[in-house]
Parts: sequence; structure tokens; C-alpha cells
Amino acid sequence: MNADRLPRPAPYSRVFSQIAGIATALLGGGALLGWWSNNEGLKSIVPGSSALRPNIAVVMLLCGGGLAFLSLTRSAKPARLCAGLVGIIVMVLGGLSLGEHFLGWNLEIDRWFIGPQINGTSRMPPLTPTTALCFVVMGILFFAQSPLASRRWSLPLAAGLSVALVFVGLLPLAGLLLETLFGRQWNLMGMNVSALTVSAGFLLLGSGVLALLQSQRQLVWSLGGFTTAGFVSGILLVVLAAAVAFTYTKRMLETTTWLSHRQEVIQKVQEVMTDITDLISQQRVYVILGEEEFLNGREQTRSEVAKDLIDLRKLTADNPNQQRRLTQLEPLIGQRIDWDEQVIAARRDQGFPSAVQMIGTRQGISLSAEMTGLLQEMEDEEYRLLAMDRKQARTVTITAFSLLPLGVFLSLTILSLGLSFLNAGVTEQKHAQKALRGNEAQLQTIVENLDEGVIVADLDGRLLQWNRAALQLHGYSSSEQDRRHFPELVDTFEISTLDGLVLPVEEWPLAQILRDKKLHNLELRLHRIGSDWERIFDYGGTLVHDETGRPVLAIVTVADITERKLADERVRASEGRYRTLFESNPNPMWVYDLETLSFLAVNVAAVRHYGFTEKEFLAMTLKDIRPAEDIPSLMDNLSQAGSELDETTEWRHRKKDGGSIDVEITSHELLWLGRPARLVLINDITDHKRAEDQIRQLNLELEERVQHRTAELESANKELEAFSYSVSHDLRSPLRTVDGFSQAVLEDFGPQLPDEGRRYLQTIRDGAQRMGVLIDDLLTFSRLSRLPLHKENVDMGRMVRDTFAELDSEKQGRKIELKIGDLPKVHGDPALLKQVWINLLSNAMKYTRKREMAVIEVGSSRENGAATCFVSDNGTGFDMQYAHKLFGVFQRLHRTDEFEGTGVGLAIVQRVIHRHGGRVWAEATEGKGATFYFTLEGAKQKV
Amino acid sequence: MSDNNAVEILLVEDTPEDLELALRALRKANLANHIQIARDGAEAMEFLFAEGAHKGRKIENGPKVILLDLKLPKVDGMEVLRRVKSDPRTRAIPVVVLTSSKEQKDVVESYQLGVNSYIVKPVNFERFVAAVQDLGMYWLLLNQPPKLDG
Repeated sequence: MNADRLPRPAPYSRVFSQIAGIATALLGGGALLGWWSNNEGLKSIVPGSSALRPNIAVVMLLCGGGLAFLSLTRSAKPARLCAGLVGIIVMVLGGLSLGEHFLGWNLEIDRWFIGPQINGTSRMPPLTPTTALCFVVMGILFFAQSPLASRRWSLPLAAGLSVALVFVGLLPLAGLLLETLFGRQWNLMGMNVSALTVSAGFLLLGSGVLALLQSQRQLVWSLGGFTTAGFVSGILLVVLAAAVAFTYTKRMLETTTWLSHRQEVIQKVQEVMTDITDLISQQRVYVILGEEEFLNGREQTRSEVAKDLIDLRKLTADNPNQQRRLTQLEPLIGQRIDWDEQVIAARRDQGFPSAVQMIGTRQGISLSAEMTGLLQEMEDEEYRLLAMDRKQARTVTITAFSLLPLGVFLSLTILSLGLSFLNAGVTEQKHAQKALRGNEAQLQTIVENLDEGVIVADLDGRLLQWNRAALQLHGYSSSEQDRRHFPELVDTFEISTLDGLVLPVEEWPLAQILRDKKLHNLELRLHRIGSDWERIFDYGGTLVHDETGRPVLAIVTVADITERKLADERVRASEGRYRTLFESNPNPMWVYDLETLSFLAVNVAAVRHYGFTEKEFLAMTLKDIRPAEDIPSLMDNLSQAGSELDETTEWRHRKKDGGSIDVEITSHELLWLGRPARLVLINDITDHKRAEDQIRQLNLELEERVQHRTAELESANKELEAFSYSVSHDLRSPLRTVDGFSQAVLEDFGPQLPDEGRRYLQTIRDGAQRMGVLIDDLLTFSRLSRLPLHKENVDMGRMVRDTFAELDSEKQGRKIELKIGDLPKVHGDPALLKQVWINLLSNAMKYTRKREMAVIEVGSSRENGAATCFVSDNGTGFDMQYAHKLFGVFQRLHRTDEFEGTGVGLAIVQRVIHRHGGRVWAEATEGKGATFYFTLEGAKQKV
Repeated sequence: MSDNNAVEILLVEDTPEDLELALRALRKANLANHIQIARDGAEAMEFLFAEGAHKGRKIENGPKVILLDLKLPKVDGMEVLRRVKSDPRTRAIPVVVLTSSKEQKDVVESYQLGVNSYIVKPVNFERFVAAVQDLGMYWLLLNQPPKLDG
């Protein structure tokens, strides 16, 4: 914004355009009137100029009227529409005239406007192309003023074209001026006084439009580099065109001079010939008649010949051939004249015969012939040269005449372009600036309606003007005119800093500004003395300088920031609370910028923990606290992140002392002072991690040991498996042989054997069979230890019922009462648990064999959350002091002949229960019965 | 038993005592005719697939049932079972495993290979005889062609 560079408004420019418009319209109208009334004075307007053509007069009238309308109405819309219409008409007229000239149309446009009055006048030739072109230009110029034309183009176009018009108008005037001052040859453009009226019209119109544009404040002279260059080159081109035109015109003139020169030479030669012929004729007549009067004037003729010869020598001074011929001719002429004189003297002195005799020598005739031949040569040469010069003159003339309009047109174009450039500098912004500056009232309104208070004071501190906001802010109504002067303010208000420090009057904002201090965001408290009215204002202001840099005014701006301040304070208070949460958090915390990764805030714990000071932290980025090798994964992580969810991740961080710590990070995205950032809570898990590592290490070792031990066990198991496999096949095979063949003997040879023998064989068979059972039991027992458990849900009640039903062999011929109470559903290996029940139930049945009525009770109880199953019977029982032997392999508390058995059954029970993580025990009273209990870990109570 | 060439039972057993007892049991059940005995797995296979000593025999001609011990020299019973059940020509022949082993492993594997019945030879010979008789009859009756009835 540079106010000084913008031209001040020029009101006279519109007056000028009005005058120009009216004058042109009068010019055209007057001429038209002249044509209609056949008044020659009116037709030409300017004395001495030729009559203004009706065609031109109409255009002048239209354009002048349009311009006047535009300038009088400040370019209101109707005027602009009118201008557009004028533009179209004039363009059409110009176009038609051009058509007449170039395309040979015979329109006689002039007659359209004056009708029959022109009768008798010779047919009017079409307009000159220049004038017609000017019509088109004017048409465009006016059309550009219409609302139809784009504002972007209309202004440069109008400006350029009007300058071109001015130029065209000036040309004939300049030509006339030059002609008047320096003579005819200086009228380079061939303009004459007849075109004066037209020129004046163009000049008026062009300058009028320029003035109009200027008055509309659309035209701004902006002499930038480009426009200057364009302008200068335009002027140079004009000068160049003028120079070329001048040269050619000069050459044309020179050629014309030459042409007359040649003709003069030819004339002289002919004169010489005539004179000499006269002299010879006189001599002849005198010889025949002998009368002296025929010799009268002879002396004069002779001197004329001599004079002509001298002239010829001068005239042909530039032609050596002619000079040479003259040199030959001169003695010949002398001799011939002398001979004539001799013949005349002979006639006069010796009479006719001697003269005839002298003539009869033919000396004179031969001299004449030679002389005439030379003269003829000279004449021929001059004619030849004349023909050549004529040809050259035509060429030069044609060139000169074609160059002139071309040069003019070129210059005009370039000038128009230069002006277009000139005006292209008028940007939208400049329009706005102008609009802002152009109307001071508008500015006043803006200031008046600002929300910010504005007070204007003079350099002595007198308050000149308050805007409405300023009045309101100070609690004044607009009618309290005289109260808002400085002394009154000092008495009414007290200004203090936000801390409550009261300012002396010389420190008040205006006083500071008057000391040439620029105020900006000066926050002060304004208190009305004697009341509780108090506001907080944001003061600003500066001195205003005029163009010369001298201060003229002081401006104070006031904004009420009371509410904002109070809100700020509240925010600050709540911020303070949260800051405490952040600052005094025992865990390190920080906030970092998501884009730059730089730290935005760190808390005390972070400073303590990492060893960096807060200042150092704030100068670092996240990368600086990460070990270098972690940076790629950090960047990876950041590029993936973006979820706003809180996440917990583990990282390694670097402390100031170079030590590396393991941390667990919980972070959350937030906006920190308007920047996308992340709040991070750090939990140092270095020790935790170390302990974890140790545990992991120990676990690893333990696992290795377990694996080792398992491998050992597995290999032992394998051996055992192979052993039992072998036992089950190979150990049983011989037993089968023993038993089988004993049987065969009994069957085939039984009758032949004594009873004793048969009994022995039976004993062999019993032994073999018992051993088979023993082997089976042992194998079962070993398999129980070996096989993996296949646990599933087992309904114990059902299993007991099924098992009991299957145990047929013991039931035969016996009364057995089985009471089944509540039994749990458990999780265990069904095959093994079934074996448990088989063994316990068959045991109970076996040892109740001697009872009339066997009573077996199965049930469960719940103790300490674990279900205990039991099987009790009313059998023989056992002595509790041997209870500890009960579950050993091959341990028996009864003799085989009393109760058969291998002593493996209860061992199997114990093994299965133990493998399920349970416990088995027994209680008994000898002779009364026994109860076997077992628990299974994880057994669930059924009910 | 009209076809004299047709082998009814292939008994694969290496222990001579067990073999004798088995034959005795089969005899007692009147099943002793057309019994082919193999003393090891290799011999059993030669017979079954008409190789070696049994070259020229028609594979289609039997046996109708195979009584197979698992613990055999050269080629064990499990391998014989695998071959029988994987060859389309012999797949249809019922196989009864007759063994002293009650090992779970053996039982499971046998059934996986497609054994038709699994009998544990008891020490008690009477039960052994009963088992052999029951099984033999069952399978032979099941496979009896109608024309042979009577």
C-alpha cells in the first residue's frame, strides 16, 4: 500500500471528456446540417478545410454523443448500453467503407445520410482506408465501454485504442505544422489542411475517452520495466517508420528533379540544332539573293548558340559521354559558322559564282552532317536516360506510397500494444485499493463500524475523533460529546497494569504513542474511579505520518479482552491442576510432536530418570533417546501408528549417561497447542525385565533337565515295554504248553492214569493257570504306569452299575445287596477308572463270600472341596495294623487257600488313583467289614 | 468240503507246541481238513501270493480264513497282515489274529490294518480251544458257498 504513488483524483478529466464529447458531436452535427442546408461553411467547419463527408459527420455525431452521455452520467448502465450500440454502428460503417475500398463495393454510404440534396455533385469516392480503419477502431473502443465487454479486456483495449486515435488525429496536425514551418517537403505524411476537421474529430474523441477512463479511476500509469520497454520500442518504431518514409519521399523528390533536368538538356540540344540550322539557312538565302537584311540578328543567334553550349556543358557536367561529345561539337560548330562567314564574305566580295563554287566544295555540308550527328547522339542519350529515370521514379513512388500507410499502421499497432501493457498493470488489487482510497467516506464508515475502538488524537494529545466502539468500550453514549476529552478521561479513569500497578498519565497508551512508540497488544486494566467498573483492554496504536514522513496524527486502538482474560485465567487454573498431575507424576511422562518427533513437554520424573535437563529434552527428538539400532523400527512403528487407541509397547531408551533401559510405553494421541502430538507414560521395566530374563533362563535350564530326564524315562519305558511285550508273549507260551499238554494227557490218557497221577496233572494245570493270571496282572500293573492318561468326563454312578453287572463269576449263587449312593461326575481315564471299580467291587464281593447276605455300599462324600468315593462291605475286614501293606504289589493279608488272589488288584487301584492325582486309603475292623476310600483331584460333586 | 484243492484255513504259527495244540483244537472242532500250515511270515506270504514253493497255485483258491500269530520269525505277523490287507487279491480274506499278546499297541495296530478278529490265546487251553472253535466256525460258515451246503 503506497498511497504516495497513486495519482490524486482529477475531477477536470471528466469535464474534459464531457467537453470533448459535446464538441465532437457538434462538429459532426454541424457538418451534417451543412450538407442538408447546403451551407459550404458549415460543411467544412474549419475554414480552409475541405467539406466534412456526411459519413464521417454521422460517425462524429454518434461517437461524440456517446462519449458525452458516458461522461455526463458517470458511465451508468444505460449510457454504457448506448455506447455499445454506437460502437456496433460505427464498426459496421467502418467495415463497409473498408469493403468499398478493398473489395470494390459501390455503396456510396454518404448518400444514405444526405439523400437527394447531393444531386448534381460529382460521385463521391469511398473513404480513405485510414479513416475507415479509424472508424473500426472507434467502434471497438465504444463497444469496449458496453456492459457486454469483459472488464478484464475492455480497459486496456479502450486505453490503447484511444491513444491510437489521438495519434492518428495528431499526425495531420503535425504534418501541417511542419509544412508551415519548414516547407512543403516536410509534410511527410502527405496530410493536408483538407483533413483537418477529421483529425480534430479523432483527436477530440481519443483524448475524451482517455479522460473518461482517467475520471473513472481505471487508468493508472504504471511504468514498469515491460511497459516502458514496450512504449520505448513503440516510439522507436514510429521514428523508424518516419525515417524510412522520409528517405523514400526524398528520393522521390530527387528523381522528379532529375526528370526535369533531362528534359532541359534535350531542350537545349534542340535549341542549338535549331539555331545552327537558322544560321545555315540565313547564309543560303543571302548567297542566293545577296541582300544584307537576311543577315540581321545573326550575331545574336551566334551568341545564343554559344550560351546554350555553355549551359549544356553545365547541365551535363555529371555525364562524361556528353562532355566528350560537347568537346567535339564546339570546334565543329565554330568551324561551320566560320565557313558560313567565309561563304558570306565570298558572296559579298566576289559575287555569287565564287560563293556557289565554295558551296560546291561541300565542305560546309560535311561539317553540318558531322555536327548534326553529334547533336543527335546527345539527344538520344538524354532520351535514354530519361526513360531510365522515369522507370526508377515510378518504383520509388510506389514504394514510398505503400510504405507510408504501412509504417503508420505498424506504429499505431505497437503503440496500442504498449498501452495495453501499460494498463495490464492495473490489477484487481489496485482496483480494490483505489476503491478503498477513492472514497474517504467509505473509509470513515469502515472505521466507524469496526468492533475495535479507534481514537484519533493530534500531536498535542487532543482527542479528535472516537469511533462508536471506542465510545461504547469506555461506557460513553454517543451524545456525550464533550466528555471524552483528555482531562475528563484523566479524572474519570485509572489505568493500571494487570498486576494492579497504577500507571501515571505520562505512561498511558496515548502518551506512549506520542513519544513515537508503536503499541501492540498492550494489556492494561481500565478502572472507572469511584465505581467497580473495570475492564481489561488490549491497547495498540501508532503515529500516522504524511507523505514527507512528518507525524500528523496519533491513533489508539482499543479492544475489550476482559472476557477472554477471565476465560484464560480459568483455563490457566485448570491447566495448573492438570499440569500438577503431569509434573508430579512419579512415572516419567512427556509429550512429543507426531510430525517432528521433538519433545514438547517433559515432567520432573523424566528429567530425574533420564538425566537430561528439561531444556536438553526440549531440544531433542524422540530419536535421540533411542539406541541407534532401534531407530528403523521406531520409524516403522510411527508410520503404522495413527490409531488413537492407547497402546502399551516395550522399547529401549537411552539415558544421558549412555545407559540403556527397558521401558514399557503407554501412549495416547492428543492435540498439544494445536499440533498433533502423543502423550507418553514411561514405565522403567529394566529390573523387571532382568528378573524375567533370569526366570526365562532358569526355565530354559529346567526344561533342558526335564527333557533330559524325560528322554531317560522314555528310554527306560521303552525297555520296560519291550520287556513286558516279551513277557506277555514268551512267558505265557510255555505256560500254555504246560497247561495244554497236561489237559491233552488228561483227555486222551486220563482213564489209564491212577487217580494220584490225574491229581498231579490237575495241580500242574492250576499252577500254570495261576502263573498266567499273575503275569496278566503284572502286565496290567506295569501298563498302568506306562500308558498316558486319556481323560474325559466320566459318570461314576453309571460306571459302578455297569461294572457290577459285568462281574458275573462272583455273583453266582450268592445274595448280594448293592447300595449305590450319590456319585460324582469326574474327569479321568475311563478305562483305568473302570479297572479301579472292577478291583474294588470284586474285592468286596470276594471278601463277603462267607456272609449269608453280602451288603456292599458305594457312595461319595465331599470333604474340603474334593469328592471322596468309598466302597464298604460287611466282609471279613482286616487288622488295621497291616493297613499300610494293603496297597503293595503282591502284598496279601489272607492266605490263598482262604481267598485266592495275586496281591496286585489293590496295587493297581492305588496306581490309578495316584496317577489321577488322588489318594486311596482303607478302614476296617477284622470280622466286620472294610471300607475303601479314594479321592480324585478335580472330582465334581454330582448333586 | 467238496473241493479238495481248496485250502480252508491258513494257520500261521511258529511255536510247535502252540501249533500242535491249535491243530488239536481245530481237529476237535472238525475243522482239521484243508489246513495249510506256515511256520513263519515268509512262508505264509509265499503261500498266500503263490510264490516260491507254492508257485502255480491259484491265489483265488483260498484260504477262506487266516489264523495269524503276531510273533513270528523272518516276517512278523503284523507285516503279513499289512500285505494281505493291502493286496486287492487277498484283501477279502478274513484274518483272525491269534496271539498271546494283549498289548494295546498290537491290538490297535491290527485293527488299523483291517484285522477281522483279535483273539488273545489264554493259558487255559480249554478256553483256547473254545475260542478257536468258535472263531473258525464263524468265519467258515460265513464264507461257505451255498452249493457246498449239506
